[in-house]
Amino acid sequence: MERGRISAAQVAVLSFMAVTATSLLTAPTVASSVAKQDMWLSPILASTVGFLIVWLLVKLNQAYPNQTLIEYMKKLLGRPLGVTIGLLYLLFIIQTTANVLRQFTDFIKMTFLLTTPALVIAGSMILVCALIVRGGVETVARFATLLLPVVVVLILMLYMPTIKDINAHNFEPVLSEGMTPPLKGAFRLMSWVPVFTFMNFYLPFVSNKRHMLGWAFGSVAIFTVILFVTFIFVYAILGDATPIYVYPFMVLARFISLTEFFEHLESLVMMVWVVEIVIRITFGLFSASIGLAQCLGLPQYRPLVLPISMIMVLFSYWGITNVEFVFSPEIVMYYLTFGLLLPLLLYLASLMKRRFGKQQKDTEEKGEYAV
Amino acid sequence: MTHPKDERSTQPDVGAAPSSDAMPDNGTQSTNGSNTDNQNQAQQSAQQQPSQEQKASSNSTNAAYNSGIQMAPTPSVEEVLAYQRQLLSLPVTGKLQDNINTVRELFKDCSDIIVHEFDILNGPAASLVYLDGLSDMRLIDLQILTPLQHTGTDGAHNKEAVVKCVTISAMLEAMDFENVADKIGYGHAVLFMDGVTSALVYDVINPIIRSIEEPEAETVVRGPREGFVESIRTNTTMLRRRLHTPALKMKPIFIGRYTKTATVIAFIEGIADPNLVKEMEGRLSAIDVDGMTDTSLIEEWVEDNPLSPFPQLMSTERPDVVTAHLLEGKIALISDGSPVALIAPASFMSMMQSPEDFYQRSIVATAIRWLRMLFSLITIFGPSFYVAVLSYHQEMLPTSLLLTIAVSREQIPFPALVEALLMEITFEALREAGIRLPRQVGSAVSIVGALVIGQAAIAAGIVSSPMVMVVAITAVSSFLIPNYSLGIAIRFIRFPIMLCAGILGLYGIVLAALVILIHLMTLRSFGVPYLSPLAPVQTSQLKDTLIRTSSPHALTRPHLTGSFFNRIRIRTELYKSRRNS
Repeated sequence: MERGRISAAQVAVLSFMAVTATSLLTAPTVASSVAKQDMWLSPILASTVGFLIVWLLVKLNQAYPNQTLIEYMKKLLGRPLGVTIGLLYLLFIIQTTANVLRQFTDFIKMTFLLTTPALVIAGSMILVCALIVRGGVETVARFATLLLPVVVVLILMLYMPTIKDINAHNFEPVLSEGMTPPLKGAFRLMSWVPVFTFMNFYLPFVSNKRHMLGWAFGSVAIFTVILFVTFIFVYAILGDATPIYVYPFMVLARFISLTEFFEHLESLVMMVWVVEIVIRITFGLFSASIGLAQCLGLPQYRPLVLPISMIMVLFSYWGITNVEFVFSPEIVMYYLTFGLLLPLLLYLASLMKRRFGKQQKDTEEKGEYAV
Repeated sequence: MTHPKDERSTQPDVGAAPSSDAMPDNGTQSTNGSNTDNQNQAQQSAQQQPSQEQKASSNSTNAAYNSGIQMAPTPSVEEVLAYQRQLLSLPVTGKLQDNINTVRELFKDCSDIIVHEFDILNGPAASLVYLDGLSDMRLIDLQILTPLQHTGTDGAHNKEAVVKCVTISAMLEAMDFENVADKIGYGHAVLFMDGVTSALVYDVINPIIRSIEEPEAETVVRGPREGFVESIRTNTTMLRRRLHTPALKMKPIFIGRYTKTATVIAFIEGIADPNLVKEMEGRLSAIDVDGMTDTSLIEEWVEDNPLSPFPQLMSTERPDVVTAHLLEGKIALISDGSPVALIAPASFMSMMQSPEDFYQRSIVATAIRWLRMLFSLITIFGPSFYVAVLSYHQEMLPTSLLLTIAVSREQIPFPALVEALLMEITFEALREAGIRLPRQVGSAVSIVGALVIGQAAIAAGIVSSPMVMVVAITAVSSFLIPNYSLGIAIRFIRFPIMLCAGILGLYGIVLAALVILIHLMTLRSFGVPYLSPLAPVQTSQLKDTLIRTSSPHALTRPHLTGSFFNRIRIRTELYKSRRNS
């Protein structure tokens, strides 16, 4: 189905860039609305879940090296149940990716292209992503690694000039209400962290599997650090006002004024954002395409890419009344169910199958002897 | 009747000896009944064959004679081709007269064929066949005719005696007329002797070539100034003069049924990947066309993605560039009649390098390389960025600049996109006209061009002055790209990006840039990714991509394909010990 080979480092870069994509722009608002001045602690707490997810995925991949989650789910849970949950899982992928598409469309429409129809923005974006996914897993991974320096440089260009505006007093008092607010903030961040599960669709193509666990942990760690730094910057500059803005990161960019010539760098934010969103949607689109093909037992996934991208455009309108809906606690539970609970159950199932499978074999053998 | 296309593939020059099934069927036989019989007989007597053919055709057209038409009917194309095939398949016989007749028949209506019949002193009767002008007459007179007619073979009638007598070392033997015709066509002189069943082929090619000049498209300030010419022998000599080693291999291959263009695959054994050479040979031998007039046509046949605007083989006229790439493990194609050599596999970054980079100090060269990359970005995105900012993102400009631009655009009736397209297309037209026009008219174009893209256009209120600035910068920067084909490709992709910028602003530019990036990423040249050292990242090769390290620091050869053997290019330890002692 897919003959490409990628490296562990590429998977790590791809997944951390994909997860960072939406969180960079909107996570500060969501986290600060519950965690206030202690929001900087939330990414660190949330990262434990991230580490758990990637650990489960890598372990499952070690048990089934050349299979994606859909394939070993069919094996572990039996075909009917596996296909059913697999389809639900694909629905989850499509829905989360469509959410991202909707966020992006709203962002562009609200800030830059005020009169352009939303369909044009979403459509052009998804077409580019479909083009990448049709190029195969190698293109998807290479695309992310190639654009990593661009994104890093642009983000640094945004951070550096704002250093002089940092006000550390904004973080006082530290943990005045105990650990509850940062934990709540970490819970709200769960609308991003479970996206790491999509990694399972890339693990079978990794050529150097020995280093996979290290790179996967590194991926989560870098994600945590970037989110942590962003939270620090945003809250140190904006303070209590952070939850008011929909895109605090954008506001940060508006603050920048270098020698009175480089002003209004929000277009730079937009460029970073476009690149990141392309990577995020590609991440999901490839997973959904290859997952659906495996779920239905099709020989090729490339013909599925365009239909699925059309469905994604549809899903980005369907049932999403506004962007805030995406961050509601119900949605977070939905994300956690598929992002954390499903791999966890599968891992337990694989453990049990290994143990009981052995016993069963043993009894069978004994039975044979008895007869 | 067979399809015309099929006929072509069974033409004489393809190589395989034509059999009777290659003969044209029913249609021909009705007009020329005894054609197949002729072919069978031809094996025995080539000399009688033409007359028989005529007899046969006159028999079948008796009716025409009877009705009073005096002219013989024109033979159809199928007949002519079959006859040619038949003649070419004949072997060289021991009878001199038969051979001469066959040659005369083959080169019928060729006014430049010379068949010189003479007697070797104390030897057999002989005949020397060559093409006037293509062969060196002086050489023939001095080295072939003089010894044969004045020294002779002392009564021996065998070919060894003749070989001993003639004082030309470049000699081959031809057994059949296909070979003979090929050699005569290349300018060799062919010697037939009575009683000898093979022909002796002497290399007396008279090379008519222009003098070696500096290539105009790739000039350097410091570095060698010679460029390839149209003669393949001169070109391979230039390569050999730089690589004095038997490891420099040049595999010949002939392309084109009629042109039979000699092409050479040059590579260095031990550095180049053998699979790469095999792949190139396979792709070249698959070419089956009437003719090849330049290496650019070969490029179209062997490249991986013919629909891409980007060149997938690097073209150069400089032997030093070819040498440098051969030393990196690439392979070169040199073709007769073309001063342009092709280098494969090519990568985007290698085409962004100028030979000058390697002849200047490494730090300066690195700076120039960065300058070049910056300005190629300006070429691609300059006009579209201007359009996007003016149409959608006015807030990005400092207020005072924005006001100035607004004032200058006050009189302009067009939106920024139309203005940009107008000016850029005009510039491209001027550039094209500047290349194609005769030199005498050239100055007129530059004067008119200055009016069209300049103060007059602004005064007329058609374009604004910032737009003229943007076009001028784009124009200058587009000529910083060293490879002309890549430069054209980059100039071309500007226009779709401009349209995207006009429709979606900066977002459109980013999307268009991503699409181009994806295309470049999926593109491969002979299995090597086009953006090779950048995506996928190969850290060892970045030394000659974003920077140009000084030669002692470039320790390893580039890693082109899967096999990575013989990778150390410099023995540092040896160098250091020699320097320090």
